[in-house]
Amino acid sequence: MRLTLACLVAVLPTLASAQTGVITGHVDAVPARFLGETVVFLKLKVAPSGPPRHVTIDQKGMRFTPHVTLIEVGDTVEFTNHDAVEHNVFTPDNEGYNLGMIKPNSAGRYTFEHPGVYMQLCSVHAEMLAYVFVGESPHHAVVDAAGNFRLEHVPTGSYEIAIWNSHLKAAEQRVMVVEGKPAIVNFEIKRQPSP
Amino acid sequence: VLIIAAVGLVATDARAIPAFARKYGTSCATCHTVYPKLNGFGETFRRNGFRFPGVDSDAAKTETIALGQERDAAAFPNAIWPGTLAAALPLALSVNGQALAHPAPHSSGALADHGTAFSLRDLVAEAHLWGGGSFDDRLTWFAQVTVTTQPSIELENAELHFNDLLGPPQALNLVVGRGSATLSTFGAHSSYLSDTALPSLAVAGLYGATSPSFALTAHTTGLELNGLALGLLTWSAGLTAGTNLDLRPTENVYAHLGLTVGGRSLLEGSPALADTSLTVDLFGYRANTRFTAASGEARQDVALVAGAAVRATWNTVEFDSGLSVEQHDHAQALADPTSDGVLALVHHDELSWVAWRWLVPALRVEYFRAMPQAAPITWDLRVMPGVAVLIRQNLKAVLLASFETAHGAPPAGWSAAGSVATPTATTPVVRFENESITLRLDAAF
Repeated sequence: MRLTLACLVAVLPTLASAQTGVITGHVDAVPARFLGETVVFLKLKVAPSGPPRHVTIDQKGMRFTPHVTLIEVGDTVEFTNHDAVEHNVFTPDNEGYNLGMIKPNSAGRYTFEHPGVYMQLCSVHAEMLAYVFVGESPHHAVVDAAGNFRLEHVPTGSYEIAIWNSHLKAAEQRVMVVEGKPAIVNFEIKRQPSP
Repeated sequence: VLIIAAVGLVATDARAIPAFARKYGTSCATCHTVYPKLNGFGETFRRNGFRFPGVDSDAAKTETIALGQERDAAAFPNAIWPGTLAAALPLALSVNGQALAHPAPHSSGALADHGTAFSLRDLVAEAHLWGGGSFDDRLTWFAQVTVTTQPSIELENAELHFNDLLGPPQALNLVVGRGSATLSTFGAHSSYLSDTALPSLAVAGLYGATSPSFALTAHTTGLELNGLALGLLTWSAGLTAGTNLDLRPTENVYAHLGLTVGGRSLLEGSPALADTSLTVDLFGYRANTRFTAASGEARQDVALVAGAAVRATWNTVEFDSGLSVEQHDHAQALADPTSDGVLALVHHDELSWVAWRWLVPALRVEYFRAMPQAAPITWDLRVMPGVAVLIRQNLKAVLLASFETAHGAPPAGWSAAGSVATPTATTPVVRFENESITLRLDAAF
């Protein structure tokens, strides 16, 4: 036991120094109406940092809330229904799923085993739309209403940083993360010409 | 004095304008000089099926309700094709009319108005309800209902525009519904002084038709294919039901070809007021019309029309000119059907200068010549100097004087050509006289 404690004491300073940094930046979207459907993420594949999480997407007021949900592979999303009408939950993306009709004050669940973006739809209310971004690392963020984002606790090093948007694109960039000084990356996303 | 008064009312701020202005959150001046006259960008917007270049919804600023998701298009036919619905009703209203004066008390115009020297009767004469919007980025619509104090009500436009059907943008579009035929590279209302760029003439009306008869500018129901190639070549071809007093086969056809050289590509349209270009348009129309003759009988008249128009712009000066020839086989509806044909010639010129963005002096000339079989040739010439003034971007005034001369008149006079000169048997020639001075007011909101 004493040996173990001694070892922990020896290791902890290394972990505490952590050698992590922060990436911040800004995204300009043209047109701006798609800005809220933007995720910035590191192109990095790491093992899950902890046990799988359960997150909730609520159906209320005929909307999915939040509009964009970030999870990691293995996480489960619970689709709750707090409307007075039945909803459906399905996606045509990737492996696809259809959780069937979800009655008021009940919920459906789906565990995401594959990375990617899933457009979340309701077959009975075609205006309802959300996105589930399933990442291969915890290093991703949704940009805020002003176009800003912040990735914290990123291990120091060099990474490719990319952007996902429902309609717009921008080239990936390389970013160097160092301790104590935020790395700043800005993107300008726009429509790509049709091939 | 009126111009000076109008100048005093002009301000730089303008807002609260019609349906498209609301949709895009932009001012009238984005598309118009003095409305309804369109600038280069406005013409591009119109030709593009009332869409901004590029992805139309990217330019829209109003809220829409999603009628499905884009992904539904890929899932079709297992899903309904997606679209959008404007959250606010995409409607606009305009009211217009005119104050009228007859400075020459013995002119035909004054006599036609019972010697009236000045009248405000028509100060409010018409109201237009406009609607326009999109089902999605390629399918759009436009509608117009006109109500007058006569009273009358007419559905002038109710059009669906299926845009970009094939090839590059604007190459092939289909218009379905009711509207006016596309006979020019430019919009039907492309005039500062007249309602329509092409003069409005119902030849059978000159000879007493009492029901609507064929006119190039009439609103009819049908189909039109149109498009734009290489940014300089416009075309259209249409099939319409025409104007008939009873159900007839749909057989009226028309086609148009236009070429623009110089200036900005028609795909983009120049947002600037100054542009230098030359456009030549050619068109043809065949109409088979059944109307009620003066005798009360129903008569049928086939009209073949060939026309050409030119627009030359140099900086902020524009010159428009057009000439069309109409051959009607039975426009007179005489008892002897072998001699009731009419050949009519219609010519117009309009010279305008955008002196300021809000002030456009212009001069318009319209000439009508009717050459009936077995009857004398008659003609009418109208010269109309005027000035169009924006009091606000959505409130305008047009001061217009009308001078007219006529040599003879058809049996029903020249009113079917919009003219008032009234030659008689004793005075078959009306020399140039001032028929009227009008101050038109038009507000759109």
